[in-house]
Amino acid sequence: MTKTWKKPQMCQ
Amino acid sequence: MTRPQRPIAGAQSRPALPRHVRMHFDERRGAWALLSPEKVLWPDEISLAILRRCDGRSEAGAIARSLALDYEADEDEVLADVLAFLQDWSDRMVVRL
Repeated sequence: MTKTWKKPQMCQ
Repeated sequence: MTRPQRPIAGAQSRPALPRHVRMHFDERRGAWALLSPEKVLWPDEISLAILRRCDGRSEAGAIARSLALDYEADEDEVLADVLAFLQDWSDRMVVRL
């Protein structure tokens, strides 16, 4: 499966 | 009184997790959490990939290069996203630059 780059998100 | 200087993320920054922040695998949710004294953070897969490379020795530029290779993505785009991420979380004292 190809990994796709996207903007990193972190829920606080 | 002088204000402490705000660290600015750059390609030469060597990001690390400060001592008060640790990564923890949450068995219940089957997900990694970032625990700090006043908050719990739930990173997505990309954030996790960045954080795992924040060892205090690797430069942000090298981290972005490695991620760009891993994800077969444009290095400039990845670097911009990585620096924005590091700046954001450094400002909230979750990452040390």
